[in-house]
Amino acid sequence: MSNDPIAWLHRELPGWVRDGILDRGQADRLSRRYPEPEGPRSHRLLSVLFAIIGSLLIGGGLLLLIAYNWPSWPRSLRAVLSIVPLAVVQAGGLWVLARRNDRAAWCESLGIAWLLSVGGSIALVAQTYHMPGSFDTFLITWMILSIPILYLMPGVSVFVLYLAGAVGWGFSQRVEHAGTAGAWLLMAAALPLAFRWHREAHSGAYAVISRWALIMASGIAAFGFIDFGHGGVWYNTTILLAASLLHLGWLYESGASSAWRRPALVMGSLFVVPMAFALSVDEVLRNVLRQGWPRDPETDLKVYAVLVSFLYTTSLVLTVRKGWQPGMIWGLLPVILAACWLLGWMEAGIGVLFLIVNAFVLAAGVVTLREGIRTSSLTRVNGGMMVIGAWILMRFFDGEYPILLRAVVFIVLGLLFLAVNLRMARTRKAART
Amino acid sequence: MKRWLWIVWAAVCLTQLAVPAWMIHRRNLTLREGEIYRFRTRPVDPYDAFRGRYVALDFEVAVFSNQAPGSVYQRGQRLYAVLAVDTQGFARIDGLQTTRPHGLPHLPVRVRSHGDPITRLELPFDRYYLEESIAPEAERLYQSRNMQPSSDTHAVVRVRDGFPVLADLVVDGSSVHDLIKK
Repeated sequence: MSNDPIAWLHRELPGWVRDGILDRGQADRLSRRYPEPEGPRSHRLLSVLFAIIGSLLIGGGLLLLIAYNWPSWPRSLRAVLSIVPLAVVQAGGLWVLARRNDRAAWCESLGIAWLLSVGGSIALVAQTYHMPGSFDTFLITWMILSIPILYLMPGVSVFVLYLAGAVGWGFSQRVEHAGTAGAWLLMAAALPLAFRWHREAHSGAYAVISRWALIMASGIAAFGFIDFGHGGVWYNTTILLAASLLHLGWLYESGASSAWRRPALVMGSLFVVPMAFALSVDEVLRNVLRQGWPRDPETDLKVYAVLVSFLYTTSLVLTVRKGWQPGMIWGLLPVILAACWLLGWMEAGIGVLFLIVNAFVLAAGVVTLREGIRTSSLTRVNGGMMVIGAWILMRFFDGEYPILLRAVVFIVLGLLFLAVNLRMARTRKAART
Repeated sequence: MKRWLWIVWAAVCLTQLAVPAWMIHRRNLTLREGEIYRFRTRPVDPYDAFRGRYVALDFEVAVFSNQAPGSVYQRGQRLYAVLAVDTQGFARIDGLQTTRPHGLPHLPVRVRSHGDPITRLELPFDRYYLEESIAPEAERLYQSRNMQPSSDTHAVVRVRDGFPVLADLVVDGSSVHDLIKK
């Protein structure tokens, strides 16, 4: 018998009917009871991708054909033709909703075509009537009208395009010196779909791609929309956001099999670790602590600061409640920075603050290395080694502190490492005997 | 298919179709019933980044110097320009108001820059779309004729209840479409 019993059954059924073991009706009922799978996973994925590319090409071609602005056609005909593609795609949408069971590929392709035809219709009418170039008005109209498409034809390509549009509108608002709160609301309109995919299969392709898209879109929006006033505020809020991503990753992505399926952990680490390193440089730490809150901050910045603080606190509390582990030490960087703020406010010297941050970076590197060895994770072992190696290299060439002081610190730390190693060896030996 | 899904689909389709349909209806109505104003054009910046498929337009009335004493406007502020016709039959702006003028022909405009005595305005029409193979030629023609002081180059705009629609671009007394055909 084959490894796949359903495929085996479907191969055998015609022979059973031929040999009189089953009649045709019984064979059909068995076929319906155990339907054949749609095809291997790679075939389904390929079918979805081809559907996306095909519909993008056809949709774009049709729009270009109409956008040619046929000079001989009367204005009214061009105007009507501008909305015909939209009506056709809408009818196609109804067909998919009503008839198709194999929706994934259809939702992807028709979703894109639908989204593009909404924007295309508005743009073509604008061209036919020589409307002025107000890009932000066009984009917001397009995106608001496209929100229902996300839920009627749920597909990742539509999801990504929609988020790109929402971020694009935010940028156009920024260029016009207008508020960008609306762009965040637009992005939030896609959140229920991402939650739905996450609930259905949190390591599935749709959930993972939507998480990547949301993280990237929010990051680009945060850095692009908000006037931070100066680098210090940017640094503090970005550390809060990145550390929150780490916590969320530990909460919801720990069981994922690859880095691709852990977007929050990957993006959080990509920001937190280099930022911790940067803070371990005297000059950077001094600047971040000196540049306080801007005197007259924009509303966007105030709302953003409150939101990331809330996100960080909530994610930290949830992580602690679930069971905080030493490997999560990098997520404490905002706490360390807050401690530095507090000590700085209490007029502690910059040397003390510098020591605290450096002790944190070194401790985090050691903990990462230890966790890597404990869990046999080569990525963590390498990561820990890289952190420790980079820290040693940076401090070795750090001209801010006297050579004698650095020499003493290096020797003391080296002795500490050797002592710990010796103690671990003795513990292992004792355990063996 | 579930009944509620039908209703949702229909509502979404109607809303999506209603937006371009309303845009078309409002402009067709203006083109049919709006009053005709002829706006004398002036040369535009030749490095306009979006040239290629349309003729970029600028207008003499966009430079407004007849403002009330003491008036101060912000960049980007929305104003209403009260329209009139000069002795040569071209549109001119009689005044700027912050509220919509009732019973007077007007246009919504935005302040591009404000100074004393000149306020530069952004009119709600700034381009004339053409098919891409003829647009560069039309642009060249428009620019070259526009530089000549005696040239009669203007845009024909229909205005209805303060809503304008650009109807035609006239270069040397002929529609730009006819001129290109020649």
